[in-house]
Amino acid sequence: MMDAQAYDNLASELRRGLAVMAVLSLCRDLQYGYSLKQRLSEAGLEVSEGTLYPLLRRLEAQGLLESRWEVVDDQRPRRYYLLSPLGTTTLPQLIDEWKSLVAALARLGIEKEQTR
Amino acid sequence: MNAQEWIDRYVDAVGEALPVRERGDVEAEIRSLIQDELEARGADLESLDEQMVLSVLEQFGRPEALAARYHAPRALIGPALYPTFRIVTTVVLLVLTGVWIFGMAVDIGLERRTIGNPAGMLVDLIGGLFQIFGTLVFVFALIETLTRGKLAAETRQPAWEPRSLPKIEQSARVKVGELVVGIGFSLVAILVLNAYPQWISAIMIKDGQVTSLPLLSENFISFVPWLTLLWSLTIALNAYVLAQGRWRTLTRVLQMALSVFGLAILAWMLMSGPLLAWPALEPVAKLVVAIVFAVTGIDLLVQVYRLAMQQITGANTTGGTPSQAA
Repeated sequence: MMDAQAYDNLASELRRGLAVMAVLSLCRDLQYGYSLKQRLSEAGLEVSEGTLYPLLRRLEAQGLLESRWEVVDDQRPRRYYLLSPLGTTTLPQLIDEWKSLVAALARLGIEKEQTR
Repeated sequence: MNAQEWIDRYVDAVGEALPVRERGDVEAEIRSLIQDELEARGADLESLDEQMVLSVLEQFGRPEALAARYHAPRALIGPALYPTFRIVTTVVLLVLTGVWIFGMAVDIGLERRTIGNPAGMLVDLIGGLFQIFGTLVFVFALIETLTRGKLAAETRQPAWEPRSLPKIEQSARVKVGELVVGIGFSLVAILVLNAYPQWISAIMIKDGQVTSLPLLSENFISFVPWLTLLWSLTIALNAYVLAQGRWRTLTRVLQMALSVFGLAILAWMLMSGPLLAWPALEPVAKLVVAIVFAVTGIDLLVQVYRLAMQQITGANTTGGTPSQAA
């Protein structure tokens, strides 16, 4: 039996790759860090703060997201993220890639494996 | 302590682990994200509950772990630079060791001193090597800092052609025993000829008196610095080849250069005056030197032939373009 820590590492590695596509997809509408976390969590994709928030910065550095600070309720600043033009052209490619990966895994019988 | 101070401490701890240029921006964002989380839990940002703040901070995780995820992994010497660092360090340390052995041997030989404190000398050498190693690390870390990112991008640029893969040569593999014996012989020869030349002597018993007469002539002793240089370079080369685990064209050529250097010394010895202090044994000494000269010369010719053949067959197998091969 694999120990819990090692399993968590494997699972979070798997989720991290998916989180990129999910975040880009959600950022087609204006989002901020916490709203993204909530939307992902509601959808059943739990991504920790320590993974999600740095990921937003990396995607911005790669030119896939754009960000801007806005003042919330005239009180405090909050950073908002939106898909950039580059992100808009890249996201459909990633979705196609994802679909072909799912199909490939299905051909390998991964789904049946899970139900055994 | 009030709740706000815990937030300040957390944000400060994350910022502490970040590069200065990113610090302000990331700190502001993390503060804002913490406030979002607190708001979502129904907190009043004007009067925060300490337990709630601590719970949110715990959820954000260790500050240094969070900070680490905000930037690419940093290294003193990155993967793009590391192979060069390794080669340069190996060569420099081995050459310096060789030079040190040569210098020490010549010093002892010329001064006719014996080794007073071998352990102390070894400690000096190791200390010096550590110093050089530290300097190399500093220089490479500086290059890494100045070229961060650019180097990795550059190394990705040229298209790699599988046909450029070098042919695997059986003879390229290192014969460890041969190299170690070479190093051992060279070390002993350097030590004996420089520090204890009196050991090479003939023992005579006459009228119950044991006397030893030096066997080597003054002429032979004048060759000792040259022989020491040859053996020191041999040690450095053999150690480098051992570290590399295989012979390459460069090391083969260096080995041939050493053979040529050795042949020059041997030829000079043959043409110069007596090698031994005892004239009766001189023909034997000259014969031995001549045999060593002949063996070294034949070995050199074989090495040159093999290298030339490898270059020719290598050029034939790697010279064609993919379209020609197809």
